[in-house]
Amino acid sequence: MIEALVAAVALGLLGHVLLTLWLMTYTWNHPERMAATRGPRCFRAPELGFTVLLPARDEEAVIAETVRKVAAVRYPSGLLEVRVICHADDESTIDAARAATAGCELVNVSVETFGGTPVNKPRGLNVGLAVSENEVVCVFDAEDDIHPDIFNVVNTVMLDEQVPVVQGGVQLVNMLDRWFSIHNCLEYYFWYKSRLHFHAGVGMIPLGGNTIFLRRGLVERVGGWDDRCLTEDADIGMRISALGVPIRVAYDQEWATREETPVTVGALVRQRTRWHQGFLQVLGKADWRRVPGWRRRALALFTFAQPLIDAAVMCTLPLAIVGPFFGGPFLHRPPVYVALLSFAPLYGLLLQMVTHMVGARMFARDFGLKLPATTLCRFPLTHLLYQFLLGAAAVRAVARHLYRRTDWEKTEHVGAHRSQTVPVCQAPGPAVEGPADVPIPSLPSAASPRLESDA
Amino acid sequence: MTTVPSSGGTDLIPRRPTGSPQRRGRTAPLQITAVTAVVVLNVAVLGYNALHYPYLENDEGTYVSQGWAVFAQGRLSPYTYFYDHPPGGWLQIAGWQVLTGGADGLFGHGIASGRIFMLALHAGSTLLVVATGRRLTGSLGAGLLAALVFGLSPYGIEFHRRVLLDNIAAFWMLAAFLLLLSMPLRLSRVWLSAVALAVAVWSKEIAVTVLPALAVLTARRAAPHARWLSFWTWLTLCLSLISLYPLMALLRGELFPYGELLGGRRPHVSLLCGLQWQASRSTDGGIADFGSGFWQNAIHWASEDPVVVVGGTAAALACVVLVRRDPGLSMLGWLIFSFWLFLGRGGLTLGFYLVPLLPFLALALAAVTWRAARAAGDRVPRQKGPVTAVLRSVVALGCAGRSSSRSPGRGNGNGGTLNPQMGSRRPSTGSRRTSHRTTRSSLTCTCTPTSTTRTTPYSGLSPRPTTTGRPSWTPPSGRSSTTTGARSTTSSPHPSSCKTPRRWVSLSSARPWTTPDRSPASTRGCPSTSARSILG
Repeated sequence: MIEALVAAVALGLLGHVLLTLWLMTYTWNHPERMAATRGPRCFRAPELGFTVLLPARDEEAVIAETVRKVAAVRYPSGLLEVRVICHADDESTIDAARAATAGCELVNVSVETFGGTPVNKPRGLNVGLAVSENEVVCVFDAEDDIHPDIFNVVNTVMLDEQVPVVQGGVQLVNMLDRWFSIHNCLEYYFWYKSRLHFHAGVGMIPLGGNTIFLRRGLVERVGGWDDRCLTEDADIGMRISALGVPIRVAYDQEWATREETPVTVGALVRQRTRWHQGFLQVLGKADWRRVPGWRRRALALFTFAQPLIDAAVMCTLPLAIVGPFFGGPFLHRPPVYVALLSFAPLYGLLLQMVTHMVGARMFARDFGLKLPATTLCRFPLTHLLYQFLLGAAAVRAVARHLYRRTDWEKTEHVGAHRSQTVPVCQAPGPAVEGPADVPIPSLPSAASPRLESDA
Repeated sequence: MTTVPSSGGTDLIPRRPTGSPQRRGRTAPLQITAVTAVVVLNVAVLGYNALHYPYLENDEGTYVSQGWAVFAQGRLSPYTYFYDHPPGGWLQIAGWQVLTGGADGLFGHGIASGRIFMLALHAGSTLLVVATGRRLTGSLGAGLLAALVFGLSPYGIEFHRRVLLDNIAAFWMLAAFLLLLSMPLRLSRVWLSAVALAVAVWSKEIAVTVLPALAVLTARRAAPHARWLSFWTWLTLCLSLISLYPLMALLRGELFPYGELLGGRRPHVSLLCGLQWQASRSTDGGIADFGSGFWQNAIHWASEDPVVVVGGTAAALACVVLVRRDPGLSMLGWLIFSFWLFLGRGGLTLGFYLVPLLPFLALALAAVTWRAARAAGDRVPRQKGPVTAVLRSVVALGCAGRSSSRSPGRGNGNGGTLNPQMGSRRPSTGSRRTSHRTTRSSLTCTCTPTSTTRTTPYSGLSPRPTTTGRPSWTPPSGRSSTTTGARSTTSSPHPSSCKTPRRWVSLSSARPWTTPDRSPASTRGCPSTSARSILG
């Protein structure tokens, strides 16, 4: 009996590890998907008007720089509308935002405040939506570093392909700040560079928290953001998917929005708990059942049930660790194939770790960062610790969900990603206004953009 | 519209050069027919008197009985399993026995069942050789030629029918190699290749000798954006699966020898003892000592099957030296030499140890011959279909074989005597040089400025770039005469010059290879007089 249990747990864990590995490496297995979800190689003339929603709470340290980054994009300022949304009791952030907006070049920028409860991001987004009018609504977080051409990219994609929703790339970049930072960065790297393309291929995309662009009519049609949901982004993405509306992924690491990792282990666990809990809420709301196509529904189920799976993995971990040694020569001896099978999850974990280590090197190369040898040396140990933290966060999320504790655990931001010397993101030039034939300053690598487009 | 910056990247999707759909549609039935014919021919040649010729080997009985013990007794061996080899080979035999109704099953007795399994594996290996040859050269004709060389090899006809772990390992080694030649090389194929090589090692441990060559092939063939990921995951997966073997020994409490610190006091067999024993069997000077068992066997192999052994090795040399930029061919050459190096390490060398190398030698020979024939016969209208192409290459192969094996004599059937072709106990460097020179001159014909023909990987899959309708050729050295724009070439032998038929050793004259029991080397290394064969 105990042998059957060990074998079942081992097979389950192995399946989970291999499936995760498959999704992590999807884009290297299907490079054509990455090519298909790339952004455009040349841009259309600016035409669409964008509303930038910047919900902020306790972000006085970073909000001013974020406003400056938005003001410095290469897009006509007449087509941009920026709304910084704060709760009325957050005076320091309001002051910082007002100071920043007063000095920027944008003509249509304001700081909006709201009172009452709940005090969370979806509430702020709904407030911002109500006081804006441009036809495309986009969401950024208060600490985001956005690429100067991101609006050109989305303008081109939306007009060329007539898609109402676009998800851009997001990447954490301060990989050396804490011991867990590199693992957090790699999670984003594998998600946006690989797994998101799998979701795009299937046609079911849980939207990310920022760098999302939605047609205003569509947002209003689904009733805005759910201010009781802890992952309002995934929730609205699911409701849009349930309408059968296609979501376009436009990922290119060059245009990815840069962010920072949580500053402490506690902040990381709290952030992850909130995400897990939000996914459980989305799972419970059952919008995913209305998504057309069984493959999409199955993928939605797998995605939003991830907290439950992670919690189950965490709970069976002791058995997975003890199992191999339980079959060893020192204790009771089961059939050798059961004992071998019980080692399978550990082998899967080893393969996953190697993939992460290679991913760390690729990530550093892609973003022009330097990866110290010491980081790689301690990588196996920190990887195991990080996986343990994620599992613990999943268990915590399930427990909180069962106890119906749904308060928003805010993640602190200090702007650590802005101290990184990332060379890819070029210093923004002046915003481009005027006719389409005005040449936009190009990066040195753009020798033959047309060829890239035709490839 | 405005031109805007873009990140300069590379084309992420490797193109698959293929012909037009119409042409593919026309040629598909003919290709299928040709492949089927070659497979049927190989199976028929091997299957003829397969259950009796040359005799039933005791090793065969060992593996069949061990396969039977897996399901009948729930053990890895009817006797004590003492880690002579990893059990993957007879686990597959056990699976075959289950599929065919038991060890005796459909075929009368256990060894007959095992030999039919070998026949099925041979059919599979033939298909793999065809596919690999096609991948290596871009031409089905080369694949068919390799399969013919593989299937009609007198050495292979002798040993492929026997229930040997080497035959099983060879199949999986071929699969691992072929998967790495996929176009484009996706990560899933890389992983499958790692699994296939691990199964090969689990079938017989000697397959581990090709691991370095395949690892390098993985790194060279992977797309630039996935190179690191492909290489490291291939290596990790492969080594992880192989490591299950020592892990199994550890879990059984049989990794360390008893009486030592970690081995305990209970008397038992152990993996380390098994490896130590294998390494100590018949040690001699190996490749550095011309009187060693390795050289005796090598000379014997070369005398009995010079086309595959000498020709294949010479072709491997050509692959390593002349086509370094083609990852598939050059790593095929390195794979062959790494295996030769293993055989010449100074340990026990038995007659059937060449079995895993045979398909690779056939592939190297066919691929190099094919490319030489194409380089030489470029003026002859091509696209005549696989059968014509095979015939043309067979002619070229015959002439190349004639030039590398000048003596028309054959081995006299005495295993210990010398091959007249060699002229001495040691391999004739002169004849090798001739062969090498012939191949080299065929491969490195340099074009005059009016032609831009060049040798590229998968050149057969893409149109050969020429600026003129008929390229002219210039030989690389002054020894060959220059012919420009004519139908004859300087390097490739013209069919009309091939006056004597290529030498094949007939089955009737082929002496059975030295069997383990008769081999002086094996008796020297055998530690016990147990009735159970522990050789091989």
